[in-house]
Amino acid sequence: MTGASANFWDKLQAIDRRILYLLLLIVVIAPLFLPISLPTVTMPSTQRLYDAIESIPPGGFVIVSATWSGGTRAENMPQTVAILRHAMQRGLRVAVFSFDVQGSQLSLDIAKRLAAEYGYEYGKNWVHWGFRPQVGVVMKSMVRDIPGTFDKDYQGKPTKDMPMMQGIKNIQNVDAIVEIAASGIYADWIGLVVGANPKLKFGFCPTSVMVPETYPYLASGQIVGTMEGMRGAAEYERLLKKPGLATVGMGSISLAHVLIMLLIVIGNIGYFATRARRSR
Amino acid sequence: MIEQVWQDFVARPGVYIGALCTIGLMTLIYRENVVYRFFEHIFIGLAAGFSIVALVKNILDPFLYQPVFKNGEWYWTFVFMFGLLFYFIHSRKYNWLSRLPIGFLMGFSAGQIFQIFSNTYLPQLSNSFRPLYVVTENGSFDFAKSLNNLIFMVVLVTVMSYFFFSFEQKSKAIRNSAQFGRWVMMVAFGAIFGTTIMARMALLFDRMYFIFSDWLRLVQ
Repeated sequence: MTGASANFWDKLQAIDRRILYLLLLIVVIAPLFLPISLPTVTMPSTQRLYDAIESIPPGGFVIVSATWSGGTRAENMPQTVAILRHAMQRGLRVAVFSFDVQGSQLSLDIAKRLAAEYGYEYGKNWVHWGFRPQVGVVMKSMVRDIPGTFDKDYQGKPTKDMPMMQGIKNIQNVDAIVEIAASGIYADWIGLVVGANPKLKFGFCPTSVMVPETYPYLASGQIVGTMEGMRGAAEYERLLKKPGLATVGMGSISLAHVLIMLLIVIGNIGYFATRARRSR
Repeated sequence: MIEQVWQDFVARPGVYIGALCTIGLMTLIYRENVVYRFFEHIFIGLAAGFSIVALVKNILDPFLYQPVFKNGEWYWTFVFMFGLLFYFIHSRKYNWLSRLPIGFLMGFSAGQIFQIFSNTYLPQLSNSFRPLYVVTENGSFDFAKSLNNLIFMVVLVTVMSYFFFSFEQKSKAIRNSAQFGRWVMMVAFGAIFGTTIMARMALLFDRMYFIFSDWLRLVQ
């Protein structure tokens, strides 16, 4: 092996990171201008969440907890849009709140926009309970007394006389809870709330990082279904026949994955070639 | 052209500032620099300021000021005073008072953890006992589910054998089982790493979408 070729194999393992970042930026930006349509296969976990919401009769009561902030907007925002859109399409009563201050405002903006789109009336079809601190205390309390736990909405107005709260006393009157989060808060829901109502459907929309840890809960049925990061949101958008931000993003993310896999292969070729040269 | 940009900036300053911050922070990928440091400090400062405002506006105001001073629900002050006992931890003479709220919170948390543990893990334990010979509704052998359950059992047992630390793993069977369990876990960690990459790519896409759609309006 000549010195020049040896140098080449070494270079494959040490490509300047700025070149790699530039390539990454190109593959992420390019699909924005040249959209690529990729076939989407709906994962069983996404389908199960969709079916769970679909099985609730119109007028059913769904709680959506948006415990996320601007840092995970990319994944949690399309998930929030998708789940609220589905609930509103189905004519369900929707109560939104958050254990995160930012999540409270972000989910309020999304809910307002979708409520206007679907003709949802505030107080009659939907409500926003605002931000709630102390996860454990709120969850324990809502099992026994929902109007007492969420006595005021995000504006500080009393909720007990709102038409949408009629007939809602405790967790037994709730059809589904969907948590959209960037944290392990699902364990608190399962530990403190889900077991209190065997008929309750608990869905979870995590960021991609958290997906593997949710599989045992999916297998045991403690979580009825999940929307796994942006990919899950894209699958859900497809089920709703309403392509959105997640669908657009999947082109970029898929290309980025192809690039990363290629770079891993190139780096490994360089590594094995260099090792073979040294062993000679 | 410059006047047009200025008018656009005045119309939506938040978007412009957001875009500048995004580009400023992303200059790090070229190399460590002053611009990145500047925006990093702004970001940290804003986050700290935001949490203080949130504390006052979303906790102290609705849960203390409004009920006590506006609605006259004076009894909530006892809760507030009980919370203030935490600060006695700084006093040498009266630091025993801080143990009251700490003990209360520990008892509350312990009670919750008992409930959370049983509700979280008992259903999973019972779900682990799966039949290795699965029969379909019409009585025929379900090969796919049986194989799936077999793989599940093998993975469960081998991974658990890796975590047997109470005795030395002298037996070859246990050693091989633990070794296989370790390989299986490596596969799982690979999957976790893959999803981490996916999350990071989603964040990058979101920023790029913000720049090219929200800010520059080049993409609809």
